[in-house]
Amino acid sequence: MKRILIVDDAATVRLYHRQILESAGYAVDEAMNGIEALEKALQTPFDLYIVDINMPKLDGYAFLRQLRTEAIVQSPAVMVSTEAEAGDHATALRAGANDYLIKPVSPAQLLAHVRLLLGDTAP
Amino acid sequence: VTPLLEQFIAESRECLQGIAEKLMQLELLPSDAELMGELFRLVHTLKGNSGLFEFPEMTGVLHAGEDLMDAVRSGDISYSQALADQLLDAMDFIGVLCDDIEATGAPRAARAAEAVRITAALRALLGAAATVASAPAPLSGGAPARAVADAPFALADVPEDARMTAYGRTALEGGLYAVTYVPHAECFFQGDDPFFTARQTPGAAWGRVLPPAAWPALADLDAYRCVLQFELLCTAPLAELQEHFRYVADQVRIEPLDPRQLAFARGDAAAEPVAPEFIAQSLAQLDAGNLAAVRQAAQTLLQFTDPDSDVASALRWALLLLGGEPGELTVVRGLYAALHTPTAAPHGAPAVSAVAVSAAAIDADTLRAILAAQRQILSFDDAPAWKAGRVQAAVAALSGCCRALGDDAALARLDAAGAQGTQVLLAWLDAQERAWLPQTPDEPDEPDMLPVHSPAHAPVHAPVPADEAVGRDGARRGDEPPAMPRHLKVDQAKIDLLMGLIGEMVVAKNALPYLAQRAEAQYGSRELAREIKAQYAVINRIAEEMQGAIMQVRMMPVSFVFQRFPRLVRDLCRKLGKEVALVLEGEDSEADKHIIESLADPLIHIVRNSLDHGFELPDARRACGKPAAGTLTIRAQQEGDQVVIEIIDDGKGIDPALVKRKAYERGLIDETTLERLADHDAIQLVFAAGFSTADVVSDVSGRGVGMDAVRTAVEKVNGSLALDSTVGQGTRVRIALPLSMAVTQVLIVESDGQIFGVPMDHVVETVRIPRDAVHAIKHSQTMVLRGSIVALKPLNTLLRLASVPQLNAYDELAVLVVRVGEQSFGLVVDDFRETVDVIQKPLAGVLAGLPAYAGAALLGDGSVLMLLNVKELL
Repeated sequence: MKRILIVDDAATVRLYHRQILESAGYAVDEAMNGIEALEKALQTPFDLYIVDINMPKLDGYAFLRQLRTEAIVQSPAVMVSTEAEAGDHATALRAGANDYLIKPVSPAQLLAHVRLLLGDTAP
Repeated sequence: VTPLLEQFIAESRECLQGIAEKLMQLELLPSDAELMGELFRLVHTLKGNSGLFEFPEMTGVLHAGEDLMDAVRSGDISYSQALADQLLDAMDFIGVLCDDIEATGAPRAARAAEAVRITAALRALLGAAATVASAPAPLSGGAPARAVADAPFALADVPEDARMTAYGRTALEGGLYAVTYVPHAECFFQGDDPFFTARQTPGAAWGRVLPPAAWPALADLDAYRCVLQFELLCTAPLAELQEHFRYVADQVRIEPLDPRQLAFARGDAAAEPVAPEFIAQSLAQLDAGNLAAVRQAAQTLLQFTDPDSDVASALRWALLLLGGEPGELTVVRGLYAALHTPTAAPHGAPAVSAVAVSAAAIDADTLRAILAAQRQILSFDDAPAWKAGRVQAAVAALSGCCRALGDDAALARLDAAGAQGTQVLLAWLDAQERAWLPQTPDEPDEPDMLPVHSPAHAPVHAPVPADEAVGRDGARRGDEPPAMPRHLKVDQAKIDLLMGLIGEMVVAKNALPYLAQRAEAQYGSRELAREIKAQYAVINRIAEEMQGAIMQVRMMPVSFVFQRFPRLVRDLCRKLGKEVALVLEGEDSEADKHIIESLADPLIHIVRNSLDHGFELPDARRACGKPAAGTLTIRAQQEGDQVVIEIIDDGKGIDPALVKRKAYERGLIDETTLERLADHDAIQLVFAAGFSTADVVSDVSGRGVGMDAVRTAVEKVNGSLALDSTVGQGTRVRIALPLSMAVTQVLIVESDGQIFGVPMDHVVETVRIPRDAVHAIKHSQTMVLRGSIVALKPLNTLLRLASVPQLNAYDELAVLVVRVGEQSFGLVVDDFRETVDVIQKPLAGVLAGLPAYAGAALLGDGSVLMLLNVKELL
């Protein structure tokens, strides 16, 4: 089963994404900020990261830069943000994201992107 | 309520609490960037969460709040108290919505108008320039499909001519609202005429009546119930609409619309696609500002187009909008772009390869977006430390795409290219994109352009990326082991149950001494009696310890009540134009939860009084040589088995002369008292029922439920209240409360062959006086106790018992001296018995109407002890 890490400080958003991804048969883990995410990711790499931008302690950009610097296995990351932050896609990609979605993400949209990045086809 | 919604409510409450705290802290440190960032993050989280649900009121308000905070954070707007006020207001409203959602799953319909008001107030702070930049997304992008989806009701159903009329009118009158009016089923009985009301709506450009989702069977149809609802599109000022619907405000939802939301094409699919050259040329002319040419072209094309087609509709809108403000041109662009899309993504072209077909099945747009993103990543020419990782991740993403498409050949080539650097990878990507997406309409050549997944947005400030060094330090801090929670959250009902059980146990153990007595007296077994007593001592100790421990669990810090004061004081000061600094002391003093809770209202009352009547206006303070800002100190401390709370202000104090005059005017005291009353006693008159010194009832206090309500509340939990005041210097209110109220100590007295309990709090002393020491003064009996006169009241008389008090062998009366408020009375009883700890239970049912009794308690031998309410009795 492919493992996905959801990195978001909003518990509601984590639960929302978790429900969508678990219903599609993925194993999901959560982190509430960049530091926790980095700890988990460096211990056991995930197959995909879904990352919020604005988080306490270590934000999404800093987390990705750190992950891309230190991780041995690199997996795709989807940056998810709200309109207020959506100003600069290039910043996200430069920091190490591979895809960019605007909240709220519909279940179909999320799964379409996740499946493509993970190399899965829809059932 | 789903788990997701539950989570949402819980997290929202947390965020709201956090926002309130941060705002308070910002009052003190308005330039603290970290606090500001934290505040923004909380509002942002709230808004992001609300977007997962269909709560437009909530998202609207939060969106405005977020934009505002963003502007403050980036320094476009300076932080001000007015701003904080507005934001707190908005957050209170969100709290109300959360309550609604928790109760019914959705906000009440009546909240919409309030949401509009608050959103407008927040936007007003943002200023005109910012408003345009952060206008709701669907409007600026001009993507019609999204605009319709976001509209409160199906705008798509509104015919084009009505939309155009409304659009034209808004240009003149301003204000465009979607009104949804759902009359109560019983509205006909309330004198409403929904149809008439709807027809008379000011500025109605379009309206319709909607039937219910499903009609009931004809037999069940009640013609006297209204099942219809109305939808209206109005161009009128909001105030006028609210005025019109004022009697049915709770049944009406008024939502503001941007006129640009009206501009979308509707019609039959055109038989012929629009020539791409026309669109490209028009867009180019638009960019060049050559509007006349665009208009000319549109008019020409319109003549050759079926008037019922969507193309004609789009062209008509374009022509209308071209005459409008420059801001509307983005919408025109959107209209042209929409003309473009349906014809640009046909299924007509035959598949170039097998892989391309499956790519289409997978969702060409998603694939295109991801490929474009990887292209951009591979094209970056910076070389940060994480560059290698970034490229690896891009390769991983591309490999995912290959596998998803089932294109093993491409995957093999990718693996080969991966080792040869970014240029080779880019070449692979170009080739692959052509193969997978043969119909790419406009090649995204600019590396910085990404296909967007939702309508384009006006640029907003992007958060500043965190400094790299900070990130690294942060990561190291993460090594610390996570703290395990040391607190358990327990439902209060469980603690109350424990409390009730231990109460019963304390009473039940009291049966053992009686049992010992019986063992000795009835069965003559002194040995057994002694053993029972020994066991009793053990059980007694354990029970008492247990009771103490459970009571400890119920203890909570007074900060629970104190935490609301900073906000209260701040808001009131703002309202009253006063300056007061609040000092809180001893917030960790603890008392029983029940006591703390019952303390909340009296304390708020006192603080309000103090702010309203106690503190002078800054000018008046300066005039009498005090600092302009007053100080309000609220201090809690434990003294013995009491927790004492003092509320001290350095305001103008209470003027005894004024109090006396007011009390006299209100008939609370007579003329002789007026002359005699000492100053200290005079100010106690503020506790009298119905007393108010305020000449005008103000918004803040002085509605007549005054300090007497405070005293009643405090005395209800066996507390006491004292008031000191010095004119010109300030006022001090001192509230003393028991730490716990679970167990009451009572003195048992005997009268007329029955026993009664008197709470020890009221008992001053017990004395026996000779019969001839009783004097009669003015029809009442008195005695002299250590130089002061004490009125005597026989308990039998008070309880309407016929018998007279009994004398003991020495011809003495038993007198229980009790204190009620400041006065002492002598209760004449037959005899005194022991004191006991009892759990006081309130009287229920018919007995609840007997004011002479405070409650009842169960004694160890199973008999019931009636507890006297001394205050009512006298």
